[in-house]
Amino acid sequence: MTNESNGASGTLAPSFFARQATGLTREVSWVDALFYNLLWSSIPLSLAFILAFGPSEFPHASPYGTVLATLALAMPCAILYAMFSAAVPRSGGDYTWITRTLNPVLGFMSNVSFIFWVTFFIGVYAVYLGSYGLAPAFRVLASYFQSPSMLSASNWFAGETGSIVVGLVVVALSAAVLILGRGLRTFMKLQKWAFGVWFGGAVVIPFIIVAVVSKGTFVAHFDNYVRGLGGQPNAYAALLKASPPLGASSHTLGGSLLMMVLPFYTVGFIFQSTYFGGEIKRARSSAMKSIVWAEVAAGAMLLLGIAIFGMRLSDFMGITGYGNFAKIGVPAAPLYTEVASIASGNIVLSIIISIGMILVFITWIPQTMLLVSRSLFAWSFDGLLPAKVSDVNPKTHSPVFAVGIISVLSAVSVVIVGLHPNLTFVVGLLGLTVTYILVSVAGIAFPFCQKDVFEASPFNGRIGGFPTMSLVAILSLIGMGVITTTLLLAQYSGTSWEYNRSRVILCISIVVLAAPLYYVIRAIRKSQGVNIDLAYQEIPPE
Amino acid sequence: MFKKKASGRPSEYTLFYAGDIHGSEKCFRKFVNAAKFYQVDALILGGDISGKALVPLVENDDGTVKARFLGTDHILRNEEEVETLKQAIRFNGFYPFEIREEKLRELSGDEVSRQSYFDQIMADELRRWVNLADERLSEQGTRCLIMPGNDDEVFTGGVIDEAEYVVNPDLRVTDMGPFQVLSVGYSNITPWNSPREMTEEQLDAEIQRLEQDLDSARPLVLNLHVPPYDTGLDYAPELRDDLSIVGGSNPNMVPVGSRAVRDAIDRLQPVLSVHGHIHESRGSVQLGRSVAINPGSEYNSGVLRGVIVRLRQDEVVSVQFVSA
Repeated sequence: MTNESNGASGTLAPSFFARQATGLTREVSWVDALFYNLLWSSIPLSLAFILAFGPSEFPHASPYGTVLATLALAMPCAILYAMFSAAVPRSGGDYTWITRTLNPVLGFMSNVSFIFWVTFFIGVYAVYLGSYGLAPAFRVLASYFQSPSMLSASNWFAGETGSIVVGLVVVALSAAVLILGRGLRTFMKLQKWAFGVWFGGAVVIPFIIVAVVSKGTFVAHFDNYVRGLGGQPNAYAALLKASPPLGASSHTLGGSLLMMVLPFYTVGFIFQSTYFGGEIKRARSSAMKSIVWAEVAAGAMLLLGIAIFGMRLSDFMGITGYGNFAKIGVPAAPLYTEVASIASGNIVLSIIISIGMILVFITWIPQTMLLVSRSLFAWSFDGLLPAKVSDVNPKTHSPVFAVGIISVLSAVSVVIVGLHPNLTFVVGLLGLTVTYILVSVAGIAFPFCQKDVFEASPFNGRIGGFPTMSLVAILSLIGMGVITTTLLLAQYSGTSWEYNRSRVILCISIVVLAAPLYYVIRAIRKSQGVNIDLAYQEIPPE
Repeated sequence: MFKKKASGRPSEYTLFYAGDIHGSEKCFRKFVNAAKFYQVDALILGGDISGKALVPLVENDDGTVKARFLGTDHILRNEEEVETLKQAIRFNGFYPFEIREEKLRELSGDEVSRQSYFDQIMADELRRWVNLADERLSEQGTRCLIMPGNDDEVFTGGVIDEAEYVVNPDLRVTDMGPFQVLSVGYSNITPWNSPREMTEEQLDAEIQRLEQDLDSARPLVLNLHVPPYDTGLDYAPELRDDLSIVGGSNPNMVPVGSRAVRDAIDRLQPVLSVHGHIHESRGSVQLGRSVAINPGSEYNSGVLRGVIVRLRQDEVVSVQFVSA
């Protein structure tokens, strides 16, 4: 079969004649999906890590090269997710793709790992909200108003108790939003506006401020800032004296690859719009466009941020990764957003920036809890969890039981991460790559194991007779393999085989232990007269 | 009514319910084969059998065939390529039809002729399906109810009525083993102005009319295409007037089920109430002593979403969702 363009073939037939039938909605715009992908990908956080920790912990990395390499290696996986979602829409992502293509046990193992680590990230983000969202916001206010009480509040938010309390409050509020259906609807409506505020507050405004403010002005504003906090005069000079700039290092390919753990924090999350489905299989462009453009936009923002902060405040940004700020009277090293607030010397702009950064964390948590609830629903429908889990409360019209489970797990995650702040630094990415690797394997097999579904999908092309989807999946497997290797090799990845072996073993254990768990559940359900194997078995359509 | 097992316990009756296959040939074949695969006593296909769109394959003078499908233009050069594309079109729940360009132009300008032409295509496809079900299920002796839904044209019920073994239960009370089944395939009013819709008042009156035929001594199963209002089985994306989705990638899910159906369940308290219509709202819910179920639909992936329900007298023993 050949595909030819309109121009080559002359007048073409009308696409189709639609009947008057339900469900034929207009396709979700790719721009909508793009917003969602960007909102979930936490670009400001990734940029903050690259600017703060890149120079000190990855001295031989070229930040530009690292971002481009991460995009190139992760893009095939993102494209594969788009292809899968076009072929199997509205189906619960990796769980469905793997159970249907490979086998139920592998699908369960993949999804358990994904859900475990995504839930872990809920705790991470809740703690980040305290330390990277509220603490800097109150610190900026404390300096402007020269208020010791606000500084105390800032320190409390950044501390163990504060981050745990804030985290638990956010999880509780998110649960309330999910349980009160009306609240969720309002949240969904507000989400696009929230994206606008975080994009403006945490990206556009900081970039412009740092691009236009001179070094001299920044130094003056920084000195004022520290003075406002009760710190020492001429703080900038004192900081440089106490923590001299690292100086230039040579960049190597290996060094650049090892730093991929930082941009992967964004790129590894950027294709979650694929978890949404549509009534009719999506046209060729929609899901794909939203993902590719989200990757491009994220890459552009990261590169632009690196360029602006690198050119204007290179030495200072490097020092934020290792400098002794406490010595000059600043309780914690500022992230780039706080640096921009300081550079502006303007309280209104500082507040907008702070709100932008706070929204980065706040919007992520209920969204992620919703995502986890979808997996719990899928497990419940397949008989792996009690039917109660997918019950919808008739009064609140929401899955109270499922939200309850997620809330408890999220709260546990908040407490664990709050008590062990060292866990926040990118630990968990390794767990996600396990899922992406299994999806890649499923992607290679899909055109052969699900031949008719593949043939009926919009991405059923072949290159040299080999399914394009399988080729993309092979590239995805290679890309994820390289990224996984860097997560195991990089000293500061949080999952280094040499330095954090127990965490690596934890990641592996979660995947491996899911297999016997599956068989235990299967046996229990069998004793109750329910054969869960039937949930996955395809009836021969002959 | 129920056969007693040697132990003295009444035996179980198992049914498989699915709906909303929307023209997917693969799903229909799976539905028919479900009887043997799951070893059930009865099959119910609860409405919305017909596809939503027709895809023309336009024959050119040079012997090639051109078509546009899923955003891709195809020039088909031989019979094998035509057949492969037809399979892909049917797989997605659409109807392929070969037509000369002049005829297509003629139909494009004449809505009445076009409708009649398309009705014939759909009727022929459905007749082929029903014959297949008749042939296979009569051999196995599995009870099979196939009902038109709101998306099916009005003539659909007549085509099913031609069957020798399969039963069209729409707007009737029919037998299913020890159970009596009250069926209505019409839906409440939708934004799409689909072929078989009723106002809530009309639905309520129709159900109440059928209630007159019920035997109070026999357990009841309701087979109502539209799910009960505000039960979690009826949440669909909120739409604007132009049928675009409010909230885009994050749709606002709102209840769109029928109040008349909800009232009927509350009033009649059947053992089981099976529904379709809303593909996104897969689930089961307890409404008083009744279990109400919507297995959802994933027809456009060739997946038959359904539910196996084991019944014993007037109770539901187990509910198992399957994605076959």
